[in-house]
Amino acid sequence: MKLKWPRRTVQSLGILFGIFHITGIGMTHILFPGLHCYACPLAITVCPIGLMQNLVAFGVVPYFWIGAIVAYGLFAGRGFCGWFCPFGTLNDLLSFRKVKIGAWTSYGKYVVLIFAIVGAWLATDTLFCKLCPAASLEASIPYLFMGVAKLNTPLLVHLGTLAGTLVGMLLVARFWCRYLCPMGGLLSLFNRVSFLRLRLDEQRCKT
Amino acid sequence: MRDRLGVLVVALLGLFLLAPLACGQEAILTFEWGAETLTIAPGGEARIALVARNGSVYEGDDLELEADLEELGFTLATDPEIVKKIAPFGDATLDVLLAAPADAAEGEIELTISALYTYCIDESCFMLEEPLTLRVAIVPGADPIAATASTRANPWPPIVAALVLAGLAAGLLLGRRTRLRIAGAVGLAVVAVLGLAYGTLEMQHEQAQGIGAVLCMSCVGLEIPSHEPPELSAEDEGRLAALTEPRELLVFSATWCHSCPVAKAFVAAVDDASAAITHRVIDVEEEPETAEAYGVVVSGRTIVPAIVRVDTSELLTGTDHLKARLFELLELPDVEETGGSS
Repeated sequence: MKLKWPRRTVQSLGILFGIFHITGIGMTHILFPGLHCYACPLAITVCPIGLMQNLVAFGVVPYFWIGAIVAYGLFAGRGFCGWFCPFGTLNDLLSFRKVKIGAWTSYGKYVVLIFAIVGAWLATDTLFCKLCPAASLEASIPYLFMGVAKLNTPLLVHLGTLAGTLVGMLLVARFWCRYLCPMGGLLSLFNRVSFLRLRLDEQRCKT
Repeated sequence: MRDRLGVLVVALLGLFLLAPLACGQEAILTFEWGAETLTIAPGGEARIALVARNGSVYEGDDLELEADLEELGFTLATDPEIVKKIAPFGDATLDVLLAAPADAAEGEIELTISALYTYCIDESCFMLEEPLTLRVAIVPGADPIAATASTRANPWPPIVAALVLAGLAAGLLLGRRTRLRIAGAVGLAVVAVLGLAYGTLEMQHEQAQGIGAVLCMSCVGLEIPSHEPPELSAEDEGRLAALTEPRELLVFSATWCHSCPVAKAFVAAVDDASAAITHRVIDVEEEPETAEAYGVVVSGRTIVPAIVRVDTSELLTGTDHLKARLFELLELPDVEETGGSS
C-alpha cells in the first residue's frame, strides 16, 4: 500500500513516454521497456517484441536488441511490467478480482514468447503483431478512427483478441501480464539478477 | 481527485524532462562510394569500392552497375559483375574498376552511373534504378589503382555473436545461484554494453528506428498483405479509356516501403490505360513538405503507399482493395454510361 503513489506516478510516466509524440518528436532509436506498439500514432519508441520478430524473420543477429533487453532486465527485470508498461497499467486498472488460476498457466507467457520467435522464423512475418492486443488498442483502433485502417478481417481479428484479453483482465487480476505477455516472459528471465527486485524480509514474513 | 491531479502534474513535468532524449527520423537506404573522389591518370586504371546498404525489410537482388561512358572514352567493370542477393539490413561491396582514355583532359569530371537491382516481395520483384554520381579527378602521373576497395569479409560478427550469446547464457545461469548472483549480473552488464555498442556500430539502432517509423499496414494487422498489383480487365480498361476529364494522381512512396511497388505498378497501369490520367511518383523522403501538405504524414508516421487525387486532395492509403478504391477515387464512368461494351 505504501508504494501506491510512487507506482501510479511511474506508471503515468510510462504512459507519457508511450505517447511522447504529442510533443511532435518523431520515431527514435529507443526500445520501449514494455509491450507498447510502435505503430501507435503517438509512439516514439520501438516495441521490443515487434522488432525481435522482424529481426528473427530476416535472420539478423540482433546485438542492439539483446543489449537493450539485457540492460532493461538488469535494471528492473519484470518490474517494468507493473511499474512502467502502459498495457500493464491497463491490466492494473482492471484488476478487480484478485484471483489466480493454476500456477502452471503462468508458463503461458513463455509459450507465447516462443510462438513469437518461432512463428517469425518459420513464416518470415510478424505473426504475433497481428494478434497482439496492445497493437489492437494502440494502433488498430486509433487508425480506424483516423480513417487509415478499414474494418476488415485482420482488424476484426485484432478486435477479437483485445476483447478476449479485456474479459480475461476483468475476470482474473493482471491476466495478460501474468499469463500471456511475451515481454513479461522475456524480462522475468532477469528477475534474480536485476538491480531493483522484490526481496524477502524473513523477519517480517515468518508464516 | 487530488491523486489524479498529481499524476497529471508529474506527467507534464516528465514531458519537458524527457524531451531532449528523443531524436528525429532518418533515411535508411544508401549507396556509398569508398572515396569522395577517384583519382586516375590518363590512360590509367583506378579502383573504388561501392557499398550498397539494404535498409529495407526485403532483399535486393541482382545488383549491377550500368553506365554509358563510351562518348567520354571511359570503361567500367565491377567485381563481382552482379551481386545476386543483398539480405534485408545487409550490405554488399562492389569493387569498381574504372579505366580512363589516354587523351583524358586534366581536371575533375562527374560520371553518372546507374545502379540497377530488383526489390523482391515474396514472389513479386520490381526493377529499380538508382542514379549515382562518381567524381573523378584526372591527374597526369597519378598512381594506377589509386583507391582500392576493401572487400575483405568482416570477421567480427560471428565472434561477437558467440561472445554475446555465451555471455547471456552464462550470466542468466550464474544469476540463478544466490552466491554467484553478482558474477552473473556483471557478466550480463558486459553483454549489455557489448550488444549495444556493436549493434550501434552495425547500424542496428537505425534499423530499429526504420522499422518503427514506417506504418507497414499489413505487418501490424491493419490490412491483408498484397504482393501483386490488381489486374485490369477489359471492362476496367474500357472505363478508364472512357474517362474524359483530366485526373492527376500523386503516388507517395518510400524506398523502404513494403507495398509501394504494388501501388506504383497499378497506378502506372491505370495511367497507361487512360489518356485523361497522369501520375507522378513522389519519394516522401525527398519531398516531405509535399507529403505533409497532402496528409500523407499522419501523426508523425509516414503512411505509404498513399495515392492522392490532386484536384480534390482525396487520399487513399495502403493496397487493400486497391482497384475498387482507386476507381472510386477517380470517379470512373460506367461503361454503359459512355455507350461502351463490357
